[in-house]
Amino acid sequence: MTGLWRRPAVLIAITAVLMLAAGGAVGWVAATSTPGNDSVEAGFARDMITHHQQAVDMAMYEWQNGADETMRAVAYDIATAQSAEMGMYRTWLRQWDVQLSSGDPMAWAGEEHAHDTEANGGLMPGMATDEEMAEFKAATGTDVDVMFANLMIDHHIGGVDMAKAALDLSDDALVVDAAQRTVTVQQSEIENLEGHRDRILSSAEN
Amino acid sequence: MATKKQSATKSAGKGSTGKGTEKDAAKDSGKTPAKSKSAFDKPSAKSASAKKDAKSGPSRKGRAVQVKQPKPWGLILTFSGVGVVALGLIGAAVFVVWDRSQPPEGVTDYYGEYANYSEVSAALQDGDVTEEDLEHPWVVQQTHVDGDEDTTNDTPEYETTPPTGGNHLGQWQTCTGSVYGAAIVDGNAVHSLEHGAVWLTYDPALVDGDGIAQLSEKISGRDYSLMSPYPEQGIEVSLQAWGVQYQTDDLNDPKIDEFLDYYIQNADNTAEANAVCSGGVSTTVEDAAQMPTG
Repeated sequence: MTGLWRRPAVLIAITAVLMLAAGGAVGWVAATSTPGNDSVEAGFARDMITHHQQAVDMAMYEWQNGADETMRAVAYDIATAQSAEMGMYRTWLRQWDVQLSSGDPMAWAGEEHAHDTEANGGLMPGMATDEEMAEFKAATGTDVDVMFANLMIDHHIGGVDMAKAALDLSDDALVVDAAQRTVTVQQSEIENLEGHRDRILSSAEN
Repeated sequence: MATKKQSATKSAGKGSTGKGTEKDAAKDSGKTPAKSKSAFDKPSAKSASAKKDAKSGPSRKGRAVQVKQPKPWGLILTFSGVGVVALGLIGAAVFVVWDRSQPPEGVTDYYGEYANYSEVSAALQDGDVTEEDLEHPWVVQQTHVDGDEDTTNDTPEYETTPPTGGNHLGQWQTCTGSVYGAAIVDGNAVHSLEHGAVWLTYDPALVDGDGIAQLSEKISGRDYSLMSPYPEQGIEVSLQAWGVQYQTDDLNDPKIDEFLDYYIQNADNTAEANAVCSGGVSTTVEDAAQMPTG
């Protein structure tokens, strides 16, 4: 019986079976570790795209119509950076082979968030209403800069909320890294928007 | 062994043909114990075929022994060889991946006990450390110094020369592979570092025109990099990314390219990921002598 182990055919067969099993295991883990359609990760990515889209809209308007050079630079930064992030989120969703949009905003973040969003006419945390956007786009001069700062500060506070919800609910390395960056960057941008807004307001008074 | 056995069987067979005598046996006894020989002979004495059996019997037995005894060295060696090569390849691949993730040697980093920006900002968020307790708190300070009503504090002071990070102006210096012929404003360049750019500076008193041309070749057209003279930096070339710096007096130092390759948009050292290098300020201090930037 022990002689069987020394036969090349048997050894090769055993090696082949082990390798197939290992390959199968790796494939299985890789396949099942991708976030699914109803996962926190996919929901976060989808909603961040929608959320970012409005920020890009606001920032592009400020970039074109703002009066203050530095506030316009901040807007350029937000418009370009958030556009790049939207591309990143879309790539995740496509690679996970899940839907790119969903009719249930904030459902991934739990009941409370989902209800708030529903009560808000589907607007996620911090997003400006259609009326606010219309008012903003009718403004001129430094009013544009100040309104932009105020709308964007609220928008970022909402964005930080969403990122924190994702940090609470997900262990996915991609999502955790992106959410952490969102919290850091948007918090520092809130501070900068406040600073520039106050500077513009005080120079307008003088 | 086998031949001796065979000859023993032969002589035994000879004796068994019937002509064998006591004499023969006595003769043979000198070589082989007579008793054992006769005991062996008896069953095979019947016929020629029995004799053949007797002959092939021990040799078949010998082959069975041979299969059991030596290890299949050929197979063992082949499989060990394949195993060693496979392990070697895996090891080499792991090393290459690891090596690529290592920063170039000789780089000064200001993250203290943390490896990079990502680690220190994660630690801050988790409450493991406070900004004040950091060795160089400016690695996490990203406020626009011109973002307040006070316009007297709009020229930030930096701990390193040239600066390597910290609070900065609201506008960044355009860093789309931009080569500036005159010094640029620190506060704008630091904002470019925040966006993931590498800023190459040279001391105009130490580097001549050929040297400048040699350096511009590395930067020109390379997105997320910029280059400018930095009077009195005291060393030929200095490279800055957010929180890290490398300085050298050798224009041919291979570390210059390594630094650019490693730190441009490095995922762990970009304080504001996804931000761009276009759309910034593209004036120098000479252009802007009469009007403040930022």
